[in-house]
Amino acid sequence: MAVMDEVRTHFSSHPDYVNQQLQLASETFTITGLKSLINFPQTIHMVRESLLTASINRLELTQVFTGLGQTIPAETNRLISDILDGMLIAVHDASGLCVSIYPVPQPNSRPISLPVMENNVGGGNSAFNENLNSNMVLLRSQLNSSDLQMKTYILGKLVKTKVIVCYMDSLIDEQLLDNLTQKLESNITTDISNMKELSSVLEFSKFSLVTHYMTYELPQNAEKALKNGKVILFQERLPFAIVLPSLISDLFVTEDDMNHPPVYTWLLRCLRLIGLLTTLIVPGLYVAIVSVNPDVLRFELAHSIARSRLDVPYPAIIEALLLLGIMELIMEAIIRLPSSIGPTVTMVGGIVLGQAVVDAKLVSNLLIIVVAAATISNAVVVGFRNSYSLRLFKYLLLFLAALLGVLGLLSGLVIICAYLAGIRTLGVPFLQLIRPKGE
Amino acid sequence: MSKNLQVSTTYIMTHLGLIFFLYPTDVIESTNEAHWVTVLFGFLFHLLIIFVYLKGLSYFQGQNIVHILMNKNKLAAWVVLLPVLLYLSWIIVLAVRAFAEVLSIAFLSNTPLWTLMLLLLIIPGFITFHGKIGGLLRLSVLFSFLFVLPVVFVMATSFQNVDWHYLFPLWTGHRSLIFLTHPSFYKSLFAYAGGFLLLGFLPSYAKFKPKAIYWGSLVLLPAYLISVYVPVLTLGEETASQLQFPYLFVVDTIAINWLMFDRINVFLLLSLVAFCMFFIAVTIWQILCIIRLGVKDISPNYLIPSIIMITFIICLCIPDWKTVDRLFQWNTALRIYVATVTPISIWTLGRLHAKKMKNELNNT
Amino acid sequence: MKLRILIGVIFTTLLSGCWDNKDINHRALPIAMGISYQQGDYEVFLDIPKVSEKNEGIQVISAKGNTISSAIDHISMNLEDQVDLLHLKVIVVDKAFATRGLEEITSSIIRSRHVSPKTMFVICDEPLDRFFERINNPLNGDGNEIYDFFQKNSGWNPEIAYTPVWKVFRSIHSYTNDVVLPIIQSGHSTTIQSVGSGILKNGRMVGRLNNEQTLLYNVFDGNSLQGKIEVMGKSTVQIVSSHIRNHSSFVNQKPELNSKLYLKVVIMDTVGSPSTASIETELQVLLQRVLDQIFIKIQRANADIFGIGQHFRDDLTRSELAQWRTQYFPQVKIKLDIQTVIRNTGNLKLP
Repeated sequence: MAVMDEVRTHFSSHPDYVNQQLQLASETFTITGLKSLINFPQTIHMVRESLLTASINRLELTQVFTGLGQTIPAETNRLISDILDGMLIAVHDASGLCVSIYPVPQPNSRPISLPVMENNVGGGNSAFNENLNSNMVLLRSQLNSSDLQMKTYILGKLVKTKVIVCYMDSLIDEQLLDNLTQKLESNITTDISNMKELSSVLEFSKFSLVTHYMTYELPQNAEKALKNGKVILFQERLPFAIVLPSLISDLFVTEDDMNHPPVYTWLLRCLRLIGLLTTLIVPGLYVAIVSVNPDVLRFELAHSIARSRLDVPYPAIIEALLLLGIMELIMEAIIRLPSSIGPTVTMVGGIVLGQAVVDAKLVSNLLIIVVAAATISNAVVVGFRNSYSLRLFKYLLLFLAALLGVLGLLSGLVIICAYLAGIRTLGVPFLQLIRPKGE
Repeated sequence: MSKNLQVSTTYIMTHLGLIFFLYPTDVIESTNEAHWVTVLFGFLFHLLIIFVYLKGLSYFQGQNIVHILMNKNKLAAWVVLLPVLLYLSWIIVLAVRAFAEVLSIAFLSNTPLWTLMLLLLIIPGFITFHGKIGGLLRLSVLFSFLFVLPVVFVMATSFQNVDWHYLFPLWTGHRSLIFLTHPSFYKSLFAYAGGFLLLGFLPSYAKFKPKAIYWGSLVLLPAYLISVYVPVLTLGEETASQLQFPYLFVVDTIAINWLMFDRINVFLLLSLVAFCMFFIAVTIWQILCIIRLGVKDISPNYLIPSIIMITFIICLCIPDWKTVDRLFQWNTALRIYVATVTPISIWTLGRLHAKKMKNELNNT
Repeated sequence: MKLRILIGVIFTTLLSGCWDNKDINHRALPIAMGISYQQGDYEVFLDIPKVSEKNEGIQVISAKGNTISSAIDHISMNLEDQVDLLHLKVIVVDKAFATRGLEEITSSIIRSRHVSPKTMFVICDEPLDRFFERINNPLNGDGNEIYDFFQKNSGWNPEIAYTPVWKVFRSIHSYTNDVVLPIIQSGHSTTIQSVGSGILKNGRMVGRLNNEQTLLYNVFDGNSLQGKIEVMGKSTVQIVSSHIRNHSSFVNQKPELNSKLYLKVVIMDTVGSPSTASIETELQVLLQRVLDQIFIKIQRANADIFGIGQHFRDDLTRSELAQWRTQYFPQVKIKLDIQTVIRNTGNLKLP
């Protein structure tokens, strides 16, 4: 067939292209597919079994043949895209019927395993992975409800990516859903392969300092989000669930809390709040108290801070920036180091650098404590994307504190609060507690 | 959707920022004894105008006062709205200049005054621009969560050095009412009439019950009383009348041994600065509303920077505290006009409107 | 792209404007200041703890000037750090200055917000240069003694009066309130010793009280916990709680105050083995006598240090209250009824 010849020429250089003839009684079938995506022996066995049974029972072969899969028109582009999707194409040579059969697939991801970025203390540990089907399996097992709706969108012109939108029909906010579907449908030809491109499809601002979505690897967090009326997106090859919209309570609340008695749930959330305030305020507070407003402290503390800063040759803001800069470098370097030398380098960097820099009188030892406190409490909030926001905000407070002292610290806090109050994701304001509602 | 909590906290916050700075000075200046009568009078006046205002607004569901007035008669609308616009602009200039001066005194800063004024203008401008009214209302709840606790803590500890004997005498007959003749009493009404106009601009955005506002004002009453009485009880009336900022001075005298801070007025002042910035943001938004709905729909991208620029230039022209004081005094007449005329006009329009609706219903 | 460059430029220019900030280790933070007044000139002594690796004690610097601020400015000009009065805790004045009147200096302290109103005023019995020389003894301590001496959570005792600046300010303007200031001098075995207190009327020193009388003043004021009283020849008791009830009335146009003082004490030490009843009666007699002495002193000086006029605020009009010190106070009859209870006698029994 001419169409088959075109397909064959298209895939002629690909090493995983398979084109076979299947002979059954008097009929010839051509089977094609990519052996990297299809498990050929088992699939061909499956197809041959059904056809043999049909011919033994003297059933109409073409009818059984069309019943094996979905009949598709014999167009080159359609055949190529189905082959690339991982389907098995079978063509009845005599009549030219093309059937696209769902095969036994080759595994293309790791099995369902432990989460990489999320830890929890008392809950389940099966995480989403790159395969859309395993993600859907996990979600459906977690949320066995007829209210759960799933819609598929295929985005992209050059590269096709599948995106699945899940929500609970009775709980979702109508305005949110309409906004989302309208944005997805109007940008359906945009190629997306990472979160930045997905954000541009959903028309989030490029300069936004706070994340508009949360990503969860554990299905129980996704379930909680769905029950609260949020929308979940799964994108092919991204091993997490993307939850829209993100709210401020996502910084403090994680589903793992609910596995403890309620008193401890509350205390843990208060602890996270204290951590957030600490990481924002403490570096700025140090600079403000040392440089601009020493009258705020008691005399004994002021005296001992003055003693600790003897012989430090530059003003407090430079000292703080220097040490915070080194901390940022360490945090970035840890991501890249291979696991064999990582721990050693961290130990050297942390301990030796910290001690040596104080002995060389480059920074005061109080600042080391301040920076350590800020870095540790940075990690206390839920969601590592949120911790990026906090890392940036604390520099804003640091600069303002160096300019105006304690007043600058307050202005920075007011600016951050005002910024958070004005953020909207798909029409839903950021500053809400549990259920997102449009304005 | 009911936004009772947000509107209520907005209302409380716009007033809290004004109470602790200049209100005690004026009240202590206006009378020698029985200060609670003065406070109560002012508070009842405030409740009265709010009651009339909200009653008038309840006749028109979901329309703000610019719509209501413009729909009736454009000329009559401007008789009411122009003083309101003038009043709002006046209090923005006064608030920014007075607060910048107070901050400069209180924090001993070497920072030049124009930086403080710029700070007090740019940040509220950013709040209004980025958040619009929805953001403002949500921000009030966030602020109350973060900053009300330090204020309450300071208010509670400011009773440390109180001598209750200064409370007496409680009632001195007709001499208690002597404050009504003193101009400082009318100046002190600034703390009551500064923020109530906001309630008229809200109905087109947020539905709220008047009950929430009344509960909110009940929360404010202790703050008014404490800000006047703690200086009087600690220092005595004679001494307190010498001080420019009596409440701040009393907070300075508190000694807390277990805290690492020496002076706890830092907490109070910083929280009040946050509330003041919120107040300025709300006032900018009201001016924005009047201009956009009443005159021409200019985009906020141009309007907000121009309001900030004009206010900044006017503030730079005010040289000293005496001028600020005089401006406060001249503002008193305008304030009383706006505080009485606006609610009454809305109420009368509301009654007429209701009567007309009833007639139409009876006719059909 | 242009937007990013603009933002970067703005931030860099902002960084350059850190307005003459002086870091905390470049500021001199004095904790005590001495002021003496001679023939129209103020001499100011500043007591500055040295900032160094070991505790090296204090540095005493002095300068003269027409006003106090000019004297401090003079010191700041010559010192290598900037002088910051933010942490000033104690202001020592000499007797001549206290007798002349503390009104001016109090007003200037309250007006400028540089000095905290919690600073304490203290009178010194000897010339200030000698006092500061003696307390600056690096072998004997770290120089913070004068600060710790008056701290309620370290060296303070109920025999020492405790008067911050704002109370002096209040007493200058108030109709019915006067204060006492502690009097100290440099000591033989300790750095500082207390020699009683001075009565201040409207900011001027008009009399003295000794240590025992100061303790009772603190008892009457409510500041006296853990104070110890020595009952002549019988025992020493420690006060654990004190409680006063006052009742004011006008009898024959003269003000009269009925006070009941309830004291609870525990026995610390005894001479011989007296009975608890005898200790109680002796204690009451002693307290009555000392308090009578104090009342005579203050009525002679027209200084209402106990704030007795406060109880008559309801009975007098404001203009009458303004005459309290001159007209009504000398005629006040104070009936004091003291009741003491010995709560326990410690580990040993007593008959």
